[in-house]
Amino acid sequence: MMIRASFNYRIKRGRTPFSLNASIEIANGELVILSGPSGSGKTTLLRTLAGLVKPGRGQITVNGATWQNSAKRSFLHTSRRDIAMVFQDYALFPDRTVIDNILFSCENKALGTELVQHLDLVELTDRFPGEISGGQKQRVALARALARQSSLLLLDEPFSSQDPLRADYMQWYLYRYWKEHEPTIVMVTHSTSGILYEMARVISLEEGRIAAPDIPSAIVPDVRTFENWELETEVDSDADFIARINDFDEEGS
Amino acid sequence: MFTLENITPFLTSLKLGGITTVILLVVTMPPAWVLGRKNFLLKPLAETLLTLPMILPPTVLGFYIVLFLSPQYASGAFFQKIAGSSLLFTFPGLVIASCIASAPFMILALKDGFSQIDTSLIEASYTLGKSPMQTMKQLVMPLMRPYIFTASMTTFAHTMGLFGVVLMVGGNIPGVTRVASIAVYEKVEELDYLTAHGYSVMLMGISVLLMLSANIWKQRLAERRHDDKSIL
Repeated sequence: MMIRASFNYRIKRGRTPFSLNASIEIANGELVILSGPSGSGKTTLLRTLAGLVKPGRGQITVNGATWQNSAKRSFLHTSRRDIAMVFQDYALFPDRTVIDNILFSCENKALGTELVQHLDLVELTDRFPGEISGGQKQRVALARALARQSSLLLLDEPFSSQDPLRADYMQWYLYRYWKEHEPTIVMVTHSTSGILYEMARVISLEEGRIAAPDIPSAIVPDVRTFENWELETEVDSDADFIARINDFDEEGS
Repeated sequence: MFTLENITPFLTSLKLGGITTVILLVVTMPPAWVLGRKNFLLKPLAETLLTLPMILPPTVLGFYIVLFLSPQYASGAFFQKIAGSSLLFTFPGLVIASCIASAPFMILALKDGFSQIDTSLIEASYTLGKSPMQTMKQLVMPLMRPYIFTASMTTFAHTMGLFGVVLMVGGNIPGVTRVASIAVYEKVEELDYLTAHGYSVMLMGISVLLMLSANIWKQRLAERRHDDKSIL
């Protein structure tokens, strides 16, 4: 999924006008992290790629197909874009249980079960979003996005509500998912550490503009780096990691 | 005391309430969605016009509905052409009048429901590949269930209690347009307080039952969801 996006988006945030000017190219299977201070336009950039906001001027093409072209007044509705998104506020459906949220756009129950196990949601499947914590909601939101099996994953602060150990695990899990399924990932995060950060091309935004020159990452995941990181953290499996997190939680309480 | 003849106005009220509620539920859904979710320049004016029947004196509203249905005017002539005769003092005419008079109760309750649905939920549904129609069916409508129920109950109860508009548009034709609220008035005039009591208790009982069931249902849903961002 080769993404070429160049656009200008203006909006009034309260009384303050804000404009986002961006021109980016993202290669197929690339992992991109958008960084920058709050209000720099990271989320707006994600939402523009998702088609949730319409830039006044600009063009977004994906694999040669036009998702948005303001000159030709063409706009591909979000639902017709091959994307999945994790929202900062999770956006879980309050009237559906955890498992029904995850399977909302996925009929593959086996995949849902697999995600539930990997993201430590086994005991929460029958609960409603109002009955689980913020960190748990965030994992459900990630599971729901991954269950869609889309070519482009847009993740807005997907680890922000996790404790450090679990955030490390989720980075590790997402890394493995990326390596296995090779989706293009565009992620907003304030974190500057972890396996994903090391593997990603980081694009810095400042006041609605791309501030730092973007340096291409190793698009093909570096297995050696992954294995080294795995050794350093002494992790054998998901179950091992989850057990360690639960021990840590119990010790904490 | 209560013969079939006596109970007919009550049955007419139930029929009128049921038909009006079903029609309004279908017809007012799109404008309620627009008013609840969209912002546009003429929104205050649209809201005023749509809720006007709620604040107008029933006789004023009734008078204009009589003109609206009168064959002397284009609208009435149109209805006459379709129905074959004037709709004034008929049950279908009464349905049109009660739809106009009760519309604000349905619209306001549905609008409230639509406006309570978090935009990010709808956006999330789109990003999960659901089209606007699928999102409406699979996400919005299930979330709207408590509001639809409450709106229907309120509209039904209000329609059962219509008096001024019904009297002006439908008259008081036994078995056709005589509804329970008019029958109460008539029995009081005849000093038949016992029958008037009977109708009143039935009307009041239905209203209490409807509103109570709506509130119990809402509470049960809220308890089941334990939703911290309550949609109720």
